[in-house]
Amino acid sequence: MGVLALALLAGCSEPPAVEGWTPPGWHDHAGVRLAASDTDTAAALNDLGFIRMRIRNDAAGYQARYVQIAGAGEFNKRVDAMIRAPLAQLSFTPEAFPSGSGLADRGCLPGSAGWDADRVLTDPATGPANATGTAITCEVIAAFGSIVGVTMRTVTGTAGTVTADQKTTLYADVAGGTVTDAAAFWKPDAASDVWTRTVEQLRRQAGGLSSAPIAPPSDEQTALAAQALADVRERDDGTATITLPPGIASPELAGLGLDQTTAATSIEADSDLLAGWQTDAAAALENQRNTPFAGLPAWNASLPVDCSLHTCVAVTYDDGPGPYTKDLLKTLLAAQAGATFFMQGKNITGNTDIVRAVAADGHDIGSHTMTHPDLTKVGPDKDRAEVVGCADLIAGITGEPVTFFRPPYGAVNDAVLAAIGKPAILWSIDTNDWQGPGRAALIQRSVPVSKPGDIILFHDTHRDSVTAASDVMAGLQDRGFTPVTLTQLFGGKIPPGKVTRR
Amino acid sequence: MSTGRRKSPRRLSRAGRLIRTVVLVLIATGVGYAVTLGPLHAARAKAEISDGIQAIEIADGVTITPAQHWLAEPLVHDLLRIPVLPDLRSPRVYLGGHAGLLLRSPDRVLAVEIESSGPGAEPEAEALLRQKASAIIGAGAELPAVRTETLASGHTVWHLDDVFAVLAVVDRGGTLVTVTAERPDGESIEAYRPAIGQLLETVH
Repeated sequence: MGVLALALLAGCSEPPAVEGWTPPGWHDHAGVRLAASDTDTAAALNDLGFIRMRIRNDAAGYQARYVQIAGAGEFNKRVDAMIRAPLAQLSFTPEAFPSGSGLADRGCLPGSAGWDADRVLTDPATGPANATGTAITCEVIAAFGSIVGVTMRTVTGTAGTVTADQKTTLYADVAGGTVTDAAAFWKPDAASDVWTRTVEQLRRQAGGLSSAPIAPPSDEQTALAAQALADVRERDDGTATITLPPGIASPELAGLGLDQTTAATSIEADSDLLAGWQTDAAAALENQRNTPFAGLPAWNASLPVDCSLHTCVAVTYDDGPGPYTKDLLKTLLAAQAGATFFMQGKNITGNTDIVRAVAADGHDIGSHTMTHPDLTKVGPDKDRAEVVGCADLIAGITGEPVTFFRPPYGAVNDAVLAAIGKPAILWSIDTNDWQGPGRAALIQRSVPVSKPGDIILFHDTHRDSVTAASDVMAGLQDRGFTPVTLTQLFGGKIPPGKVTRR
Repeated sequence: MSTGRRKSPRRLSRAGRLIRTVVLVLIATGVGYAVTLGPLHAARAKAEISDGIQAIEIADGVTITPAQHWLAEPLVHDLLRIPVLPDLRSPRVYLGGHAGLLLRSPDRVLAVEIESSGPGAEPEAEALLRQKASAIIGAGAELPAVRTETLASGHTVWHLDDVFAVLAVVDRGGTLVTVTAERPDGESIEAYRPAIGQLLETVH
C-alpha cells in the first residue's frame, strides 16, 4: 500500500507552471498588424477651400472629380495632366444634363481613394455612364503646415471588369509652390516589404502556422503595394494605415485556401517601420506634420477654366454696381462661380470699392456705357464717349484694361461696332429680370434652358436677380455647368463683332 | 488431540483465506492501478523539462525540440474506455518505450500530443488528419478545411483547427508525425498558435 501511495503521490505531482510565462507571439508581427481601412481622417480635409471641379461626359464614358488650388500652378498642372490623359483617345464635347443630376457635388470625394475599384466605376458619384469608361476621383489625405496631400485615382473598365486602377498622391507645398509625388517618399524596396508583411499578416489571419519566409513578390504583386504607398495616410504620431487593393496572391496563401484577396487589405505600420521605408524627402515633409495647416489661397474667378473640357456658361450682370452687388459677390464666392459684370459709368461713382472687389474676386468687368443710351441712335463720337469713357473709368480703378462692352438694350449695328472697335457682348438667354417675375421664374428662365456656351443676362440692380443667384448657380452646376467669366468662356480670345454665345 | 487437529486447519484456513483475499485485493488493486492511473503516473515520473536546445525523441528517431520550460513526458494511450470506470491504459510506458510525447506548455495550459504514425505521404496525411479530427470533433460533424503549408524546416504540414484545438500532420521526409494541441480548460487556443507553430518547426 505504501508503494502504491508513493506511486500515486509521485504520479500526481507535476512540476509547477513557470510563473510569468506567456505564449510567444508571431515573430513576423513586429511593427505591423492588419487593420480596418482608415479613411475617416481624410473626410474633414476635403473642405479646406480647394477649387472643386467635376466633369461628366456620357458620350465619352468619362467622369472626373478633382480639385485645384488657387495659385498652385504646378499642382494644378499635374492634376490637369491626369484628367486629360484618358481624353487623348476620346472624342469629347462638353455635355449638360437634366436638372437633378447631382453634379453640383464637386471636388474630391472622401473615402473614394479607398473604395473598391469597381465601386469607383459603378457609383454615380464617380463613375462614367453605364459604369463603362473612365472614372477619376480624388481624396485629400493630408493637410499640415503649408502642405496638402491629394490622392488622384483613375479607374478604367466596366462594371465587374476593372482594366486599370492608378493612384497618385501629390503633396503640394502651397507656400513654396513645389509639388512632390508621394512615390518619391518611399525607398525602392519599400513596396516589396509592405507586400511581404501584408502577406505574413494574411497568412496568420488565414490560420497559417508556418514560419517559412514569404517568397518574394512578382512585379505585378509589387505594383499592388506600390499603389498602396501612393495613398498612405500617416497620422500625427507617425503611424499609418496602408491599404492594398484586392488581388494579393502568394503560394503561401494558396495552401491556406486564399487564392487571391477579393477586397482591399489594410495594415497599420508603426512609426519606426514607416520611417525605415521612407526617403529623406519624406522625412523633410514629416518635419511639418505637427504644424497646424496654414490654409489655402481663396478661390478666384480668374483661375483658368478650359471650356473645351468643362461645360461652360457665362452668367452676366448688367447696370451695376448697385446696392446688391456685394451680396452677389459673396454668393459667387461661395458657389465658386465666375461671372461678368457690365457696369454703367454713372453707377461707378461712389461705388469704386465694389468695382475693386469685383475685380479682386477675378470676375470680368465690361463697359455698359456711361449713361445707358441706345448706341445706334447717338452717333459714333457719342458711342465712343459712352463706351470708352466707362471703360477708362473702370480701368482707372482696377488697373486692368476693359476689352469688351455690352450695348444697352442690345442695340448695336455695324456703325457702333466700327466706332467702338471692341467685341459687343450680347446674350443668348434673356431672363427679363427687369420685369420682376420673381425668383422662381428667374431660376426657370435660366437653369433648365441653358446650353453649353450660353450667355445669360441678369441685372444686379434687381434684388430678386441677386437673391436668386445662389439657386441659379447651384442649378447650373447641378446640370454639370461651370459658370465662368466671358474671358474664360472664349479661352481668353473673345471674337470681334457681335457675340451672343460661344 | 484429534479435535484440536481438526479445528486448527479450520482457523488457519480462515486466516489463509483472509490473507489470500487481501493479497488478491492488493493484486487486483495493483493491476488495476497499473492499467489505469499507473501508466500516467509512470509517464509523469519520467517527465522532463525542455532546455530548448536538446531534442527529445518522439519515437523511431523522430525528434522534437520544444522551447525552454516545456514539460515533456511519454504519451500514454488509452486501451479501453468503460463508462463510470477509469480508462484502461497501455502499460508500455513501464517498459521504457513509448510511441509519442505529451507536451505541456510552461504555464501548463496547453497540452500537445505528438505521435509518430509511420510512413506516408499526402493522401495518408490528409486521411490521418481527418480521422483524428473526427475523433475529436465528432464523427458526423463537418470538418474544417485542411490547410497545407511548407514549414521553415522544409517539411510539409497539413493542419485543420477550430477554436479549441489544432490538429496537424507533418511529413517528416516520408514519416508522418501527428500533432494534437488542445486546451483542456476549454478556452480558445488562439493565443497558443505561435507556440504550436514553433513546435511544428522543430519536428525532425
